[in-house]
Amino acid sequence: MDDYKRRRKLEEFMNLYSKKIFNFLNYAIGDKEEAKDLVQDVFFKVYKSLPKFRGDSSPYTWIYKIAINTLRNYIKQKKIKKIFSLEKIPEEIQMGYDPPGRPSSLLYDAFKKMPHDLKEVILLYYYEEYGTKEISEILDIPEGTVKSRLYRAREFIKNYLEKRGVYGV
Amino acid sequence: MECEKYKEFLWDYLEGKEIPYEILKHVESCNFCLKEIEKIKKTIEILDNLKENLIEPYDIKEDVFEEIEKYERLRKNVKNFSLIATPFFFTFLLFIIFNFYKSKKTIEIIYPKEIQILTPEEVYFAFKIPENKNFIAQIDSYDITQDIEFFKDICFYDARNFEIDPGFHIFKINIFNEKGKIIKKVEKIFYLTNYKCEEYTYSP
Repeated sequence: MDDYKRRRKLEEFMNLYSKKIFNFLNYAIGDKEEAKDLVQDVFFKVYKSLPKFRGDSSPYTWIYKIAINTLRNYIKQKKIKKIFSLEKIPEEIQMGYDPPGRPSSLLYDAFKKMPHDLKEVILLYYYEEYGTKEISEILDIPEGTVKSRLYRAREFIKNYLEKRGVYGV
Repeated sequence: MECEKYKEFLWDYLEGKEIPYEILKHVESCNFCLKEIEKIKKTIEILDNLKENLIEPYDIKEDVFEEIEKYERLRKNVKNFSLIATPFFFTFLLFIIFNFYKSKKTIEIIYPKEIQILTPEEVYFAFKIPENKNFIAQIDSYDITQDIEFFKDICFYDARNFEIDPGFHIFKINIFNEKGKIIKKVEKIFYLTNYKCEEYTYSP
């Protein structure tokens, strides 16, 4: 693939998927600026890996895998920084996102408290509308694990909302 | 409680997936499960909002392409540098190996070869050393460490400067390179007499 084709292909992918991936990352980390840096990083990696992409999966699934790995590295780095206290991480940046004035802000609060592995699955399922089989491919885990994480994540959110009176008394 | 076991199926039920008939029958007649279904419905509604409330991202294209430009420039520079630097690197490597080999091989004590009976005036060491190379040598004897000098390829040590008892003595010679690293270590045993020409019979 020559340079021109590679860049055009990347531009096409950015037009199609950057909004979805940006929002996915934004939900996952809860920081617009960081999500912007991450999404740039994702598409930069996409550019570097384009010559190696064989088309075994759909481009979207492939890009999602890159996004998930980028996100995991980011979270790992944040955790390391936290352990060594090099950087004080504000609570809202650690795991969740809480846009003020949103009707579903409780859901974002629940994301803050939710373990990352559950959050990945529930975002891919409800936000990206992937099936459990596709999620298992993206996350490289057995489908049974996806199902059990999905159930735990749903129950986590349901219990969180219940405790805050969303379903009435 | 039976309902607890069925909870997982309730999510599937609301997503229109098939669930076993016995569970369906139970759910339809169980108040707890019906309440649970209402909660799940509401949770799904809220989760579906995730798709509605999307934020328009910043235009990232410009930044991504800028990053790519930097990356490509760096890649080209590294490639060009490698093309130029590789022959230099290998020449340098050969030079290092050659010099290392030469310094190891060419410093050789050629005198004295074995135990000898000498008077103090006769104590000296002869080395084969590479030309244009600077070495420092030290000699250890009688608990004294002393620098010794090279003159051409001969290393002098004047034993007359010291009061040396007759008998066997071990001379330890360390040769250092310019960086102070020992590159040769030699031990020589001498039998020293007090007087030249004194007769001495040594049988090892």
